[in-house]
Amino acid sequence: MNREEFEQKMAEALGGELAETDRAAFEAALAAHDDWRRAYEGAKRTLDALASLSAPRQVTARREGDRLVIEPASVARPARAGGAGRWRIAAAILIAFTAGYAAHALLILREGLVAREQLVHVTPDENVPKDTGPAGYDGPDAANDEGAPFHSLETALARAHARRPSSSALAKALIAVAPRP
Amino acid sequence: MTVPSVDTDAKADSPARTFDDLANDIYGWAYRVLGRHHDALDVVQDVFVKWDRQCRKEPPRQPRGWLRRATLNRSIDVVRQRRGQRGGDAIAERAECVEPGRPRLVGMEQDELRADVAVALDQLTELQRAVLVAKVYDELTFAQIGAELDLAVSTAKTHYVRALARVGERLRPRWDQEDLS
Repeated sequence: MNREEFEQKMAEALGGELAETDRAAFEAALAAHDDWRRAYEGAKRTLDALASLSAPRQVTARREGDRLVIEPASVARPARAGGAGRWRIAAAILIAFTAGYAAHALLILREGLVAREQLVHVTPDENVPKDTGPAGYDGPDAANDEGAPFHSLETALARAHARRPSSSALAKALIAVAPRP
Repeated sequence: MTVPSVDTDAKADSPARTFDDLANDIYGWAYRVLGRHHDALDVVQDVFVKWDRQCRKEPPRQPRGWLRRATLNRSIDVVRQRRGQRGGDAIAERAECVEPGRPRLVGMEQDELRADVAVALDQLTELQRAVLVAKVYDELTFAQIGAELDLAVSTAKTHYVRALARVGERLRPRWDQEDLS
């Protein structure tokens, strides 16, 4: 093998194209010639250095009218192990909202029941002294001073208001809108 | 990045499409030499204009080979300009920006190595440069390189070995330093 032939084989070896049938002869030539071996090792080191340089990012070209726009390619991200995390968060938020609405609805329902219960309890009670209604109240039943109990919701609210005026905003409101004779 | 507009009439449509298809490669060749995103984009722009002019005169028979050579030549021009502006060897250049996620020292070493490689590429002939890049970075076979660059396969191999040897000469002081330390 002369120098020119060696260079051809060296190019093939460095470029990954050396045929298996030529490998033994090539290695024998390397072993026989120190300068050829040094040249080969130097070339291999050069290749390593070139390969160690960071690779460019991917770009794409697209036309906008008659212009060419070069942009970084949008790399499709591989699905992560926790790829369902986003859905889990969305589901958690949905569940939280649903639970919140359900709790609110239950609370409203319960408050409604309690109010109704209270109304039932404040209905006629013979032991309760005669109630003439709150001071200044002159609604439709206020004129009833015969000791007859108040049977209307309005009356019940009025009584509740009379007992605890500070917590009877609804009674106040009802009194305010009650029709006057 | 937006590249200046060119006439994309029916006659020029095919060359324009060819350029678009190879834009990523063109950017990659420039980046391999320059190591800076924006410099590489500038080179893509310059090559695009040159390509357009060439296609109006006579579309190249081997577009990819033509574009690789034009890109490398333009990139080398930029390297020379840089060296002229800095008034010194490219090896004295420092990293202007380090890629996110890379340690600073590694980034500087990379840029110094790249600057050395750029200087070495400048010292190669146009064909040696084109063959080296086609083989190392585009991973073409010598037969493909020969076809693209209108060369005999044996000539492509010779250019490859000579190019590696010259780049290795440029990198040898760096290796000697590394071996000593």
